[in-house]
Amino acid sequence: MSTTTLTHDEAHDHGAPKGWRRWLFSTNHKDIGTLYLLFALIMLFVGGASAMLIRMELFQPGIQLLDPDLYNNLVTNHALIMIFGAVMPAAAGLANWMIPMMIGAPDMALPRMNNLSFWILPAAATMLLLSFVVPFFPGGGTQINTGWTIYPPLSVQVGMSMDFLIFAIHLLGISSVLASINIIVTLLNMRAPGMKMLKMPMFCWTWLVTAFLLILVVPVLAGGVTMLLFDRHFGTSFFDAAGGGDPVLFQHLFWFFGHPEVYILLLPSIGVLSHVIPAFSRKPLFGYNSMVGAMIAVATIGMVVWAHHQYTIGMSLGAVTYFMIGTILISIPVGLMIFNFIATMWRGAMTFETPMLFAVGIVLMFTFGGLSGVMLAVVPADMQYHDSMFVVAHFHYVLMPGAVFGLFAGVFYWLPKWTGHMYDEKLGKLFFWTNVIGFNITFFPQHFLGLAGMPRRIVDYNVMFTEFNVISSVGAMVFGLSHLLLLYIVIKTIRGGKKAESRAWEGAKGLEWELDSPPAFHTWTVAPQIK
Amino acid sequence: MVRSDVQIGSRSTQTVFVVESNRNLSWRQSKWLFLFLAGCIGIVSFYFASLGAWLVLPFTGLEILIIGGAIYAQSCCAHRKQIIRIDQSQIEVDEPPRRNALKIFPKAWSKVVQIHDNQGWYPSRLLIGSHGEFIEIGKYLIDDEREQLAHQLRCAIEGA
Repeated sequence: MSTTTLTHDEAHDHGAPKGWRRWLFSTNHKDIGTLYLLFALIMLFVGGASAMLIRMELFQPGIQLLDPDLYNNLVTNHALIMIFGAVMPAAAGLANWMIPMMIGAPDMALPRMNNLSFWILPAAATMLLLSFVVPFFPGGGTQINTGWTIYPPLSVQVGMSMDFLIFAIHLLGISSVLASINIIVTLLNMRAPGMKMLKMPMFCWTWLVTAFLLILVVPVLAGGVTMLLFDRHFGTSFFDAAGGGDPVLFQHLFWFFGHPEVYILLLPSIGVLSHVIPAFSRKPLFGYNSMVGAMIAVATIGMVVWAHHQYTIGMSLGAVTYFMIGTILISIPVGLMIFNFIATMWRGAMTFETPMLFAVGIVLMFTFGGLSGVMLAVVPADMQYHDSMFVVAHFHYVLMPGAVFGLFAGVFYWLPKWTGHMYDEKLGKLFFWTNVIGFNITFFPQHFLGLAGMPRRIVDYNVMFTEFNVISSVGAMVFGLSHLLLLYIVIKTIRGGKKAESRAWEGAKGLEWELDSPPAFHTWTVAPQIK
Repeated sequence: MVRSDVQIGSRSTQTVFVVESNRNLSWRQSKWLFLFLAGCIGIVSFYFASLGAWLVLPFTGLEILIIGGAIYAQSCCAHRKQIIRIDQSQIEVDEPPRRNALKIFPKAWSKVVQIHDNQGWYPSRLLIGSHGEFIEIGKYLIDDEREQLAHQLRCAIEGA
């Protein structure tokens, strides 16, 4: 009998992955996480550019840069790119990077499927961008002037760009479902020994609930857009009243997906906050169990109140009352989460590094967005606000702080772990303040515009709305350009900087901080100790 | 994880190592997870089908199939097991419930080979075998456990 120890180089099994093959064929959760984050960053700039064009057009009354259809196509693309291209992939990037490290797993449960679910995304993004480009070519038909809701009958009449969009939605849905299944299986079956469900990090809990939501709602959207495709090309009348169909059915299908989508965007950021706030308050998270319960309650109630987006379609009084009460009920678990965050900060030894600044910003501004949401949930009030700029202000106050700022907080919190370098704190804080001030200057005036009667999705407006629109557009330029600073900070941190320790933040808790910064390509060579 | 046991029989002493991968769900729990997910998706899809949106059904059906496949594939991986029996003359490596997986090596000629990746790109590998034929042991263990198993195997082979 003898024993031998060889190295890989001696064994000539396989070398280290190099070049483009490393990324194209990667099954490593960290590489795929990086790809997701890079993709999201690119799409953030594409979606942001379309938003800046919209605000440039609205700088003055009258038509300046864009014709009405092109304006509405930009509105459509901005929404779809930001939701499906930027926020969801960024959250998936965080999940890929952090979930295996947080639960002590060597990788995701299904690594090849993980690779597939990412590489579907660039194809979907190409389809999405083609849907915008196609109408510029001869025979390309009209622009997608429907908004992201793609309601029939207008969407049935749009040119072939709508077919590209439907195909893009299918691809995005497939990618999301595959990623969700992978996350569910990983979290439920690959936790380190001793990590019970109620010991799981909160970020993992939020992603578990998010993944459940995604697999429940995405097939409904897929069915809806396929029915739209059939109505467009195969002579069916699912949504055509003249053929016995009902256009309102599409609205139900869309919002059954669309409303939970808000929580799909929101919950991962709530998960990030549940790590950032305790770390910089130097206290454990207040009310872990209640937080998990609140999240499940939000997701469950959120699944059955979709029609509050459709109060004006003429539903029965009973249905409208049900959807109104259900919607208002959501504010209870959401409020509980916010109170838990405040209670975590209460009497904590708080410091305000960039992730914590974003976290505090979220608690303040997301609460504000939630309050305008309660206003919109009330049927008689909504009849006035419906389809006005007030709605635009509301959902940007929910989604920017609730989803995007949470992702920014996560990026700044974990960037030292990913890159092995501390980011420039001064630049980080500068980014926070320009971003938050720009955001508020952009969207706060839109509440007044909406209340005064300015409709959304219209390229021109009455001269009486000029002042607030000018302020909003100036804010949008500051807000949009501030993201260049984010890009600079990220590149600078990747290239170098002060060396980050394993536990980059003094108050940070969790298994991921026991690994080196940056962690090895393969992690957990030693069994994690669950406390 | 690795469980080891020394069994003393009437004719010889046998050291047994049971090498299993880490898992949180049993087969039964995996089945319940699948049924729960399929049930929830089914309720949603039949509700919308009843409203006339029957084209939701093929998508939910496909999704249930993918979920089932994913849970099954992962559960199969998570329930991998190797049993290594070392007695005075031979080493048996079995992988139940796989059929024809039993490998037998003469103990006197057996080698325990560890392969390390200097660059840190890949986990280490542990092989056992003789006469040019080797099989991998504990592919699903973490490096630390694999290291311990290698040490225990060497002790068992040399010490028996």
